Amino acid sequence: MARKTDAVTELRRGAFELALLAFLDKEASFGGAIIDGLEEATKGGFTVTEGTLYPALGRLEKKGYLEPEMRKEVEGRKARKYYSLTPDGKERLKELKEAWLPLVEGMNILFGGENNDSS
Amino acid sequence: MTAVDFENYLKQVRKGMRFVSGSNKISFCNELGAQFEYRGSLPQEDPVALGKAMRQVYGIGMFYRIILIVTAFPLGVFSIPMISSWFPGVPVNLFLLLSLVWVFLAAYYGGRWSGLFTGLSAATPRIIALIIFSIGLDFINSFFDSYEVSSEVTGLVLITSLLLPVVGFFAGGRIRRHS
Repeated sequence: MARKTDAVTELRRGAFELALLAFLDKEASFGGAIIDGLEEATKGGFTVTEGTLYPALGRLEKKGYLEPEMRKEVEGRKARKYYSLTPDGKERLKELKEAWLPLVEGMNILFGGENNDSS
Repeated sequence: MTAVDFENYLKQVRKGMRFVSGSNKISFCNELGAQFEYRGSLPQEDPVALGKAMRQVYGIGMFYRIILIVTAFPLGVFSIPMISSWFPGVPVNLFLLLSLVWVFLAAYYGGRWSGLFTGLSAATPRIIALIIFSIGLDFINSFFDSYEVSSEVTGLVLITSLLLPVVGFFAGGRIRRHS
């Protein structure tokens, strides 16, 4: 049982970097909005918490894939840290997408085959 | 959820981020502050765990890295085997082990470069001792009677000295990759 949970966690962790880069490629965003936006954009497929999001954002920023920008949108409120993709980030997204799409396609065929067998 | 609850939460986050540079700590806490304003609720995570996760990302601050590097030097000095001839009470093997643990600590908290420089700092006095004992043995023996260093000891000191920075560098890379 523990192994199964670990595999699911690993799977989600692997896909998370791609999801994050793909989401931020559309428009720059900040912590809370990324959590809500990712959940909405993936129809609940990606439910992330702060403990997953912030370390991931920090790692991607350190690798040079994300560029932060402080924006003070409302007077009297704290400035928000918006993240957007750098050219390296866009390159990384392209690279991950190229690896991801055939994988998903292959898995869909595999699962489809299973469904056909059982029907 | 009140501002007091949030302040308490931040206090715990800062605790988890112990040894991280002040600027990174402030930056992350401000980011959490903006998050709190936006969502109106505290993050679900344990604040100390969240702080520790961020420490894995940022690593420890420069001040602490320098302390680790500087402290490794005397540890390296006391791990020189030849020193036990003059100070028989010095547990050189224990100091070598301590140096290694110190290098791992630096690699774990500071990353591969911190591990490398801490290892270099611990290895430097050992290498200097090797050079002195290789080149200046006659000079040393003018103070101490027939001091001898076997080639086994020389080889062992050289290998362990070179291993310290290498271990620091690679351990730092591996530890941070898996965290």
